[in-house]
Amino acid sequence: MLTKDQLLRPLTDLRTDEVVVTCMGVTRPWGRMSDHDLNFASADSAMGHTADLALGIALAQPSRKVICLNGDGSMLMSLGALATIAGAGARNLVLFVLENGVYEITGNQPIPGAGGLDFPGMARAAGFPMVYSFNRDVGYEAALPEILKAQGPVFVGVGMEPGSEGPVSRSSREEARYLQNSLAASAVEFREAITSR
Amino acid sequence: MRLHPTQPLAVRRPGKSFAGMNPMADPPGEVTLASSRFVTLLSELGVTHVVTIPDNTSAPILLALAKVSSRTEEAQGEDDPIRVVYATREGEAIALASGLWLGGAHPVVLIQNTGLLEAGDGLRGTASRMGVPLVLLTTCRGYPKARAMGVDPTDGTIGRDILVRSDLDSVAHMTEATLRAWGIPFMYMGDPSDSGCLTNAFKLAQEEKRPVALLLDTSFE
Repeated sequence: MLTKDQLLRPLTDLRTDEVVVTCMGVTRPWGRMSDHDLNFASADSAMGHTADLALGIALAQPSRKVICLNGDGSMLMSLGALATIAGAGARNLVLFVLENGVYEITGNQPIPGAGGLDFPGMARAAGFPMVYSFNRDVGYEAALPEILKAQGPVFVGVGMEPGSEGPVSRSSREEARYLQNSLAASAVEFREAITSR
Repeated sequence: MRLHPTQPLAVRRPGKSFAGMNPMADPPGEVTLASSRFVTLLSELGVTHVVTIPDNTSAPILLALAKVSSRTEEAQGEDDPIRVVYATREGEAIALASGLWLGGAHPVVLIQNTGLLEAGDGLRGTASRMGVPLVLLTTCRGYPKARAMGVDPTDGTIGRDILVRSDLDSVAHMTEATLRAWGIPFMYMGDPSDSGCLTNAFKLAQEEKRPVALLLDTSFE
């Protein structure tokens, strides 16, 4: 199992101008490590739709890499999105699913089927041409450059240690800059940032 | 240790790869004048993507879109005037369209009113919450049936007698009430050649910076 730091630190080291879309328990840790105008937090939003949102950005910006850091509980809520992503052929989308087996921000209750789910297998079956899977940090950091360069859509399943993040808010009390505005204000800022590049 | 080896899968099935395939790239059938005009209007309004789950009413529109794409594919490739994206559920379609807007595109969603009911939290949490000027092209299942039975599906009556009647389709009676409850302005297109309806829906969505439903209470056959 990887910790969030083991997952995110190598990503922040390699990330240049890729879009990064986060949700749930990874939102704050990513925001603490990375302050970038192409970060977008799917927070105060609709649970289960982060991958859909990221796919839309990827299709609108086909020449820019889009990295989605999704949770396993969120992925289950819109599992059909795997087929939509593969069908749309979003070559620039890298979909991480952080498999901790729990709904972290509501107190680590188990997700349905926890421990018996094969997300990489589901991604393969849905038609993802590139599928990676890690349950320890061994090999992850070395494979990351290849993952980010691969022609996708790319699926990356990562076994994660359960964490202890509480519900994510949008307020000036949040440390991460991308959580300090409303979802509507963040959306306008993000759109302006990505279309002005 | 990896749960699975790093294993790119170049080919999923021998001889077949469905990823990226447009299922209507070479569709059969003739494009109707009404659907052709509608697609032209969408193009003139700057629409870049139609995110959809099809139904019988929208089928002629999707056929017209596919014919346009297949005609221009060789010449323009990924620069087709309007790209169609098929989703698995309507909430997913609306979130996907919200992402397209975030990325600078100008999408619309084309769904049936039954699917609109499914999309509640997806719509609330993405397009509405983000203030996306997204036009929801929503076909009107059940409206013709209600009218044929002499019932007004928009009169606000949703009692048990309406819900269980086999000669009515309950979704027609829930459509306006649901949109009102969700704070989604709506208007009707009762004639496929009425370009003003479409223009007004886009204008309202832009002015109010929020989703607007255009209820397609008409046929494109």
